[in-house]
Amino acid sequence: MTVLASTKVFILEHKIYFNETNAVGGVAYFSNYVKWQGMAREEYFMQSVPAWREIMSFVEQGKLNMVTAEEHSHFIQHAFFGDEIVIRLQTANIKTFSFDMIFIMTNKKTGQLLYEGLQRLAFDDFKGKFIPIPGPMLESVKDHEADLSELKFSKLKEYVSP
Amino acid sequence: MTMTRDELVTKLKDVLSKQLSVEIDKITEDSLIADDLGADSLDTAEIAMEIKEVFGHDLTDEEMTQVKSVKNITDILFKATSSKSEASS
Repeated sequence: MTVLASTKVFILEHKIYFNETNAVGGVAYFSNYVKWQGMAREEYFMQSVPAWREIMSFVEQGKLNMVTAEEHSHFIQHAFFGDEIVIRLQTANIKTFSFDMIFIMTNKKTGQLLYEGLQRLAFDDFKGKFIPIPGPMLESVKDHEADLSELKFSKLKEYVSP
Repeated sequence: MTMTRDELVTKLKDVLSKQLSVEIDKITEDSLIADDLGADSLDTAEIAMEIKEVFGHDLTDEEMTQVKSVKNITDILFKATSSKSEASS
């Protein structure tokens, strides 16, 4: 499983640089996978949510806060310096105040599955009250919603609703 | 038509099971929402929204402070849904 069925999948490609590896044979250091989650997430917002600047202005004004409530990582295979990876982002578990982002990372050349990750994003008003997912974002989030039945054999199924 | 208490509990367990990814047979009326079912503040807020959708009752801020167990929610909803039924009859 590298792509779960959904209307749309957001894709970001990334080449692994030396500064993203550890001292052991040029292996991609584990914390970079979370960093790549963040990169894919922000690129998704900028490319797939037309009103992202407006949403960011509400964040800057202290009216809207996007919170990473959870993050999960499942490391499957090593990636190395010089490898090109493909990061596929889909959404899931869309509720009123939150939704999940699922990240599936593969080796671009071999197609080998490297990593599965998940973030749960929530929205509040900076005063402790949860607020609904911003309307302009919700449409894109729904478009990228994945079919979770395909997660049957994935460790991510522990974290997403059936 | 008013729901019986048992019907309400069954429906509520279904809501909690789906919202918290907990098997429905692991939920009892004595289950504590946070300690037993693992709900955090975000889960609680989402559950309140789902309760509004399913039962037509908007939990007040005061009621939210009383919500500790499945029984607490059941009592609140049963009282609310029974009152609505009496008012309309």
